Amino acid sequence: MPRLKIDGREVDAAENATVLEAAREAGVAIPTLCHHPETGALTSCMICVVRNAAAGKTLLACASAAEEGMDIVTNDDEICALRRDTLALLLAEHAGDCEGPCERACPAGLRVPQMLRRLQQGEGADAATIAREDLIFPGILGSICTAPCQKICRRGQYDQALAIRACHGGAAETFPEKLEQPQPASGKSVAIIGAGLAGLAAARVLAQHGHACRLYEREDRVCPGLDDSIPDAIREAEFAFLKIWNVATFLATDVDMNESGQSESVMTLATCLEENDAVILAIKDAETPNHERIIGAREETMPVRAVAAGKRAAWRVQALFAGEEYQEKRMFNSRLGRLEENDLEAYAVERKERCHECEGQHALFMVSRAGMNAAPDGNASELSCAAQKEAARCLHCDCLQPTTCKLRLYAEEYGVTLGGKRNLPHRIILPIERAGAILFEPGKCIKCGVCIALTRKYGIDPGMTIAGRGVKSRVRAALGATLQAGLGSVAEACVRACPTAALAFENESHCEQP
Amino acid sequence: MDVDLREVDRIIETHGRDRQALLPILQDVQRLFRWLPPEALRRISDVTEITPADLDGVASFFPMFRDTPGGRHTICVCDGTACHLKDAERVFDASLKALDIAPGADTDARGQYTVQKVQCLGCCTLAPAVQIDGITYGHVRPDTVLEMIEDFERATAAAADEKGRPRPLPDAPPEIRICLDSCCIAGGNGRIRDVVDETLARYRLPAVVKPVSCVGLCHLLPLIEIAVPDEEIYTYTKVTTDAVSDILLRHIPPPGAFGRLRAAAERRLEKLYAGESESPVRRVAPREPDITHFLNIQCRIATEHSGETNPADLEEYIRLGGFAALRRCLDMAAAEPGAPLNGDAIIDVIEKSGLRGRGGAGFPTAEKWRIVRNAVNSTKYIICNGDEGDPGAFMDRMLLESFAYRVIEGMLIAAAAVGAEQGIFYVRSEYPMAVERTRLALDQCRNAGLLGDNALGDGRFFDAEVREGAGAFVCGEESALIVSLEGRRPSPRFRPPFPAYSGLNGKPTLVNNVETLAMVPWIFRNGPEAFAALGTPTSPGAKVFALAGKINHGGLIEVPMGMTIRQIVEEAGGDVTEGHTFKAVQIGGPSGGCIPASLADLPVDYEALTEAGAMMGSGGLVVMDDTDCIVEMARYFLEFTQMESCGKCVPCRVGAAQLLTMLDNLCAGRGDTVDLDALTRLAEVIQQQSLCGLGKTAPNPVLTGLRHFRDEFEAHIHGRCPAKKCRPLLTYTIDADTCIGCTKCAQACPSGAITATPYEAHLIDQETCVQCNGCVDVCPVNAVKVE
Repeated sequence: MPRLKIDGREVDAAENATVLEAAREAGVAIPTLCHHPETGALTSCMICVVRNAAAGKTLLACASAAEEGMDIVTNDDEICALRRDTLALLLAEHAGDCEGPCERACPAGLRVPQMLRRLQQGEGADAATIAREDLIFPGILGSICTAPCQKICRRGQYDQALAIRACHGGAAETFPEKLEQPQPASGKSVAIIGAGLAGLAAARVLAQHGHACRLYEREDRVCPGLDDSIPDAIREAEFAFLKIWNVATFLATDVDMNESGQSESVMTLATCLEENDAVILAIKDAETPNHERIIGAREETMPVRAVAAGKRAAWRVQALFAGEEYQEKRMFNSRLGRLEENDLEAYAVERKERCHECEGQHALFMVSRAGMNAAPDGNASELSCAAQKEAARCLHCDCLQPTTCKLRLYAEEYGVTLGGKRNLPHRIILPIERAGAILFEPGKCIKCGVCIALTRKYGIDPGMTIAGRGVKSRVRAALGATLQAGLGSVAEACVRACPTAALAFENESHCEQP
Repeated sequence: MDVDLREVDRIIETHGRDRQALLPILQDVQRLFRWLPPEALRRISDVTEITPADLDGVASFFPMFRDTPGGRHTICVCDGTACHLKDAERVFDASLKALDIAPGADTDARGQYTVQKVQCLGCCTLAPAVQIDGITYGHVRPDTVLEMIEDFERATAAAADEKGRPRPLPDAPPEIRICLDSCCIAGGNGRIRDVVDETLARYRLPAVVKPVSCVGLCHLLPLIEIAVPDEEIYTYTKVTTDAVSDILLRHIPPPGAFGRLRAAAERRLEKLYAGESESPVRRVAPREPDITHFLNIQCRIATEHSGETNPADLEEYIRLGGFAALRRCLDMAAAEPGAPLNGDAIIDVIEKSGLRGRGGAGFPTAEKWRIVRNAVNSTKYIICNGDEGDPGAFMDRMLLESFAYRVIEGMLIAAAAVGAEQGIFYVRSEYPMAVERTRLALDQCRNAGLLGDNALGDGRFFDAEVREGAGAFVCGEESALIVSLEGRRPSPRFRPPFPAYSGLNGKPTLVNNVETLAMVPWIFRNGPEAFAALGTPTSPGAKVFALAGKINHGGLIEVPMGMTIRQIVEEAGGDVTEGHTFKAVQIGGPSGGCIPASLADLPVDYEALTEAGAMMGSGGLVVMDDTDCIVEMARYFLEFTQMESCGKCVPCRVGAAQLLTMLDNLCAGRGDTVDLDALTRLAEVIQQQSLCGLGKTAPNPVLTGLRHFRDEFEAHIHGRCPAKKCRPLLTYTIDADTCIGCTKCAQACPSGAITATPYEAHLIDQETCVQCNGCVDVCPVNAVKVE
């Protein structure tokens, strides 16, 4: 049994073990993309690079035998830099978005593609739930949001942008919320100064988590700045939580921002602080005093930004109560960006095929939405049917496995940054292929060779192969066969082995995951 | 076109049904149909062991395999380094235009011609070179493309009618020595030989034409030598067809008084009609100083007897000491009949000689042989690597075309040393003559009993065959070469295990370069000490270089290791063209680097070159002068490696493409988008992280360029090309004082950028100008200024 050092620890490796196996046995993680226990070393991704300090050389952990006397360093600065730069190269040819551009553009982070998938599949209630979780007030925003998501929608480059706003508005309206009991009382209380969309959004999130909220508003009604054109029914439905969850609302109550001034008749910030565990300042143009229990949530002019600010403030309060450091985190995102004209055709062809029935339904939906606003008692089933057809126009630019894609996780871990003079895209956009419930997006494929090795191992005829060479090489079913035939009986195993979402189940979307 | 599957079946029958037959089958199918029809591929996968995945992977890998029907004839425009320097791109464009081929297509409407670029025809000294169906043309210009095609059509139309009545010959007739290697034919020797044949027949001259091995005097082609017994050898260079009869008659009198009279009369008449007095032939007697110099500084080991021996004459090879080395080895390693040979004795000699692999990396040959010898396995293979993919090198081609027996003898000695029974010559299919001559030589050896059952004495079997490559630089990498022989996509394997332990079919396999094997017989005939005495202590012996580029004498040279670059350029190469200065040499091809003139006193050996950031590589040596741009050169090589990258590992696949984009930007006037630090880091990542030698060395041209010519890179960032080579960075203006107003430039301008009023100074509109250089070419008074 060879004895070697891995990150300074003495390890006895099994006979014929690779460095990777020895490390894993010893509990040391080494990243891999093209490694698969059934296929042997494919040595294509080069991510498992480690250094043998005894020889002063880098080597591939997956393919090198663990030998007596090795001194393996798995992640010093040099190795991490090599991995980071290699990942950047993989990402340069990885043609796909981790999150759809719409989702990325939404300040409140509405998971647009997931919502649309639910709508498309006729699961309107689930779509409404997603919209509510992310937007808090999807009905109201359905009327007044400036919809940055639609401005960036890739379908817009093709013909017309998706009516995303109408979709979440329509879903919220058609499937009204049945307010459940909030979580058990936490015993904490929060004062929220300002009952605009930001304050209300914060109140809604906090109340749901069982915190007692006190909402102060200078005017005599909540959300005084809200557009009058919003139907009362929507407004009432989305603000109903205030009554049902007993959010103490103090209207026409001015809060004196001057900390020192304590007074019987006027509410002051100091009093708020004294009476509550935290204070959220959700008003326009106010400096947030530097105090750990005072959290700012600027009431922005753009409604969806205001909602986002309120949500964020609520999370910060949550973190404060949990005694944790609040970290705003946006995961690494591979961006496809704007497509060239010829790429667009290839990109959209299969995606468009999937919803050929809905051609022309787009306009209909817009009209019906307009009608709904005017007549809130309209035919709900008709509305959801139109929404379903509209949702079917979505090109689904997002990733089907955004939380399990190893490429993304490593990119995040190693801090890959894209763009600028350092990393030029080298991507080829090819149409999506389909085998039953499995989708293959060639653009996202990193040519690791795992699916090829699996189909070879299990004797699939014709099997998958790599065609062409160099930067133009691509994975495909051999000799012009269909993807179904290429993957054969090991299709599911290939999907599970794929390190990215190049091969993915169409319905195994992350909307099912928390 | 209907695909006759019976033909496909016939091809399969010839090559067998196992996986290894994949490449030969595909090559024959391609030759037959001029593409790979899907029906044929399906048939192959149905009736052989070859899987569809392998078929598709291999068929789509090699550019020689087409997925659409090709033309009846293929015009291959060489885009090797030397041809590239001499504007092969314009010849390519002119060929497309001459055949009226639609944009984006590669075949003319009648399906007669397909035009394609090939990496290197190995005729660097005749740059730019073009090959049409195996006939090579040298020094092709855009305006002679049509002429070339017409000549090809004439040549194919004229059925090869053998001429001449039998002539009475004396016992030792005078010899007319002419090299008929592929590049010499392209250089004009082919036509000269025809005229020589005609002349001999016409005057019934008692002489023989002897095809000989190449002397490497490529810059003096066409070239013939007249060897009359007991007289000095006369060399005639740059021979014209008109001069042939003069030359022959000068040395070889026609038989009989009547014949002499007729010859004299005819020649007088001819001259009368042609109105010329003396033919402009350059007579060299016996050998002129510059040739002598070119030849004298050389040291012939792999190319011993060059210019004297007939490449296809086995008897002559044996008469001159051929196979003596093998016999000596067999004696040295003698063992009981039936027992394995004592190969260690042979390997000890190689070790003493210090021979290192000539393929590029310089691995000690003895060490490699010993590993294979010590491997415990009943089956071992030897592969002679003749997949010379470097776009500026042609020594392997020349060695196989001229000295195939020597390479075979080297392989037999290696076989005796390591205990192998089967050998494979892996030769590029772009070298049809090398393939043919090697096959022929193997057949002759087999007939002479040098191969086969008793090849290694006492019933010890050894035989070898030729396998053709299909045009991929990466196949020169030993693990990719082996995978390709096994009928898979030629993607390199992770090493270790090295092929010496586990190679072809998992058996121990010795992979040696052509030149390495060609060195072996000399070592045994002259002793390892003699070999070690040549060259430098770490790099003994001699090395064959393909010398090309901006020098007066290009050609193939074999010089002792340790000679300085300056000696090679100035003495062998006859220095750069008059009026220009020597700027750098590009050594080692796409894996090597540029060595600046300031380091020209560097001795050429493995260590010194590596030290300077270049590498020996296969031995391409391209000389650059002040009009050559280092950035453009790096871009050219990156374009090559990027195209040749197999695509398996990401640093090479994507990294090389990114590096190329950056260099493209530099050369195309988008230099401001390039960050040299980012470029350097990318190059380092590719170097460190790539799986095989191709990727690891791909950034060398960039890194050496940055090391020795960083200012040129910086100039490109600021939109200047100091060598005035990168046209998008240039501005063309007309000097009003010099311009005579002849309007020639305006007529030549393809984009109508020149407004020209006769007899007034012309003007170039900078917006419309496409920097084609056309105006510079036609201006009679050099009024066009380029900045």
